[in-house]
Amino acid sequence: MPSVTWSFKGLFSPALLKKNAKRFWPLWGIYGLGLFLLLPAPLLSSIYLYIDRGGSYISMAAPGGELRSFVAAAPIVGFLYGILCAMALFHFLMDHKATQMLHALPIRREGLFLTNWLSGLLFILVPNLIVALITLFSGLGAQAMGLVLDDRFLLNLALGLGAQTAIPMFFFCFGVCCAMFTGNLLALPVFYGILNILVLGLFSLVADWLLPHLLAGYCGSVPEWCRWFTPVLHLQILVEQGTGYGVLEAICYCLVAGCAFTLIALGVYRLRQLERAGDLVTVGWVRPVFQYGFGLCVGLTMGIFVWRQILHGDSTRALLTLIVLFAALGAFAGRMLLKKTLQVFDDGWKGVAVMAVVLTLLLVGIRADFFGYQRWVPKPEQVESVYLNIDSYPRDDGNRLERDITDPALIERVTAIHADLVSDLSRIAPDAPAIHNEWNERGEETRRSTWLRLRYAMENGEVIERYYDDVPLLQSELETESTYAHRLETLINQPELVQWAYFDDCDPTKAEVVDGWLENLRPAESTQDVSAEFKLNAGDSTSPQTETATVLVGADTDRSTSYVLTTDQARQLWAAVWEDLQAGRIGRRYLLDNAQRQENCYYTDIYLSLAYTQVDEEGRRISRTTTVSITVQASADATLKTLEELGLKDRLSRRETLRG
Amino acid sequence: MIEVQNVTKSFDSFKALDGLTMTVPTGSIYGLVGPNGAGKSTILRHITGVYRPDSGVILLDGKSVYESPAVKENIVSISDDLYYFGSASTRDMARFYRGFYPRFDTQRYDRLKEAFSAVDETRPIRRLSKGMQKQCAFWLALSCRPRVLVLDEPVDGLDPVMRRQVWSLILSDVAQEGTTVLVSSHNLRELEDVCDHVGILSRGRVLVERGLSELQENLVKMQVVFQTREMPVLPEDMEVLNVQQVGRIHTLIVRGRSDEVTNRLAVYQPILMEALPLTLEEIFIYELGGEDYAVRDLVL
Repeated sequence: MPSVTWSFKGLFSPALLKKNAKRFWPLWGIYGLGLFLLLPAPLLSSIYLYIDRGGSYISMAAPGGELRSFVAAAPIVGFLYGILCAMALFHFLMDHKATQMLHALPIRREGLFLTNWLSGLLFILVPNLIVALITLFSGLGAQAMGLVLDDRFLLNLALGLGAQTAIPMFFFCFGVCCAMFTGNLLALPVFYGILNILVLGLFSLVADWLLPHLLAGYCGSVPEWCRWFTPVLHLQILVEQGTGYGVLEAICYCLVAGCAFTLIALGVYRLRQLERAGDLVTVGWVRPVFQYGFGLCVGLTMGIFVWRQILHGDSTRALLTLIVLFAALGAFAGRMLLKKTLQVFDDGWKGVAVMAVVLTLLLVGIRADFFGYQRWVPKPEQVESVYLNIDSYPRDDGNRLERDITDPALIERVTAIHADLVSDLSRIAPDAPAIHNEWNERGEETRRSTWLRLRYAMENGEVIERYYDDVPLLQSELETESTYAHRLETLINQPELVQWAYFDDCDPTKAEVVDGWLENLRPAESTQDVSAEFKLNAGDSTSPQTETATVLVGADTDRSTSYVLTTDQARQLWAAVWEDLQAGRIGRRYLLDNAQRQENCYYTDIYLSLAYTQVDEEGRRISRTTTVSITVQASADATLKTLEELGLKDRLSRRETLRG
Repeated sequence: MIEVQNVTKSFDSFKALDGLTMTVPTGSIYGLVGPNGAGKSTILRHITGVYRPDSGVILLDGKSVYESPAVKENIVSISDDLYYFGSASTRDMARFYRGFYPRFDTQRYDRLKEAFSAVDETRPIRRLSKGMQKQCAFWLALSCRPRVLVLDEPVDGLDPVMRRQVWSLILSDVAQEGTTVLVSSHNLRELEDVCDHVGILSRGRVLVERGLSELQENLVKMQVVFQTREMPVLPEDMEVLNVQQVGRIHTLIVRGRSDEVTNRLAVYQPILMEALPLTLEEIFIYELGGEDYAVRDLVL
């Protein structure tokens, strides 16, 4: 007697679904067992222990609790289980015999896809539902036995189940999508793994490892959106936030992205050339993308690796050559993989040559600033604010200026300095000769490099950053008004910038001094200066000594002492310091540890603890305390007068250098 | 009726099918023959709806086969590369096929146990020998009661008894159910016994497609002893495909009906003349000889 077909007009096959469930029971069985061990088993164990030890409260959301572990494991479990399901259910597309057998059946491709896809979803959903039911009944059973459950038990369980279901489903859909592009079962998990991290990996490679070596001022940061295209990382970060919004966001992400991948997969499958079973890439237009994309990835990774490890990061030209060379080799290797033969040079060299030329032009274009990145300076009127970060002498709390500047006049000065800086790229280029600190025979610094970080908040909402790590500073240029070095030093000595450098968010006019002390005073019994024994090696005036000016050069620190001020003394000194600060007599900043700096700055620092009140975003007043160190300077008349009144002026340490 | 109209298919730069056109009449047993790489398996995969043609159409009773479950329900194929699920037994596969083919006949499946008695239906098919696996394929295919049976090298691996058994079952279906059988094989001797239609493929095209008897009537093998030792010059319009001489006996393969060729050669008053029928193998060889695919006399 003829049997009844159940193929729903070729769009779904219960026979295939049953077959899948029967064939792959070890897969979903082990998954289910794993889930059981992750949630119900420890919960049941906890319940047993609570009962045994007389406890009365069980939390499902406590840090380190069962549910948290259950949810936190979802991305890794899903990542592995998703691809295993995809490989099991869609491997028929990668086997000639299976492809022919299944596609000769009276069912549409959509039917085969839908049935296998639903099988995968059931492989995920059913074990999760069973585990959820066991967990629920365990919890309710515990409650019946008198234990008090966490009041959010059901909510947390639902969220946990949602995450543990949605995340593997997403990875399964992603795996299925990958399966549609390849005809090789072994290539599938490789593609899947690579595509999971490709975007972030490529951007990191380019942003962190390549462009900083090509572009002056390049601020390498991987865009935030890259994380969205790195699912395993993105989901792990989301679920680690806990069982609240992070998990909900993860579930939504999985549902939306999973649907998108499914639709793409179905579309590709409908057009798939089944005779491509066994091929690495089955979709025609993806084959060149794979070949040259593979070449590009090989070029970047191997080029940068060899450049750093073997050539020790020397010569940008060598870096570019290596990248292009390895990219060409990678493209040939990609062609070999596609064609499944080593004989690819005869017919493949033209495409590879074109790729090499294009890549060379692109890299050389970037290096030569064809795109105007390095020379870009914003127009002052387009800038809403600019964040300025630079270091200076002396090494007290004002040595690092980090501030958002909104004053248009100051912004104009910053952009002018920026324009001066980029006008001669050869000095700040990544491959420019290294700048070593230099001192003259009197121990005065005549040359060094510093960093300058600029972050422009543009009026159109754009944020553009430029970080210069080796800005050359020369004494001769500091003395010339038209140079960026001179302008920069003048800028950072603007009273408001000096004040920001020292006090940051604290408003010193509203702060109250609570205590204070002085560091690096000469001992009271001694009348000798704490002399610096700055010994230069003959003919070694250029020996690199970073932070040289920040330490007491050769000083006998055992002989310097601290002096703790009384509150009244501290207040008296603060008033004097504040007066000098407003008048620009103290806090003077220097870009070089030159003669001016050495003559004006004492070695002694004043430390003042200031108490102030801040209002947070929610309008609450918060009491804070900050300690500010200020180097005593010879120009600080009021401060020196107060120190004299306090009997401390004679104990101030002068920094003297060996002259001649 | 299966109609294949101007089908082309390329694999990368290789043209596997090049405007192939053929017609398989309903209820016929159509033998598809051709040299290796001619495109036989490729066209069979198109006819079973596995491959999508680059151009052209494949129709079964006027309806396109590709992606048409309603049409494919009538077609069952036995590929030269058999595939069964991992540990599936014949019985498991029968259940599976029953879910796809509405005409699957469980009673027939049970009855066919007798014909394939050597096969243990509960044993995983993959553990069976190649011949046994082939028997399973026939058992399952015949249980589906197909209207069209597509066979690619079908009896390869079967012992002579089982070959006869299988052909007997197929011929019985053709006779009783009007099943159309499309079979590709290199075993021309066997095809000659069962086929009523033959298509010869070469380089992705059908060279000749006729009823077997018609094909045999269109070529004739003449054994002639002429008056002279050398063969006289024959008329230009007489299409002689091959001439061999052993002693004074000339063997000519001539295109044309036996009586026509006999009459035309009689003009030369041969001492001896006999018209012999060609086997399918000979037809295959001499037809393909014109396609530059002939047995070469090589001395190694």
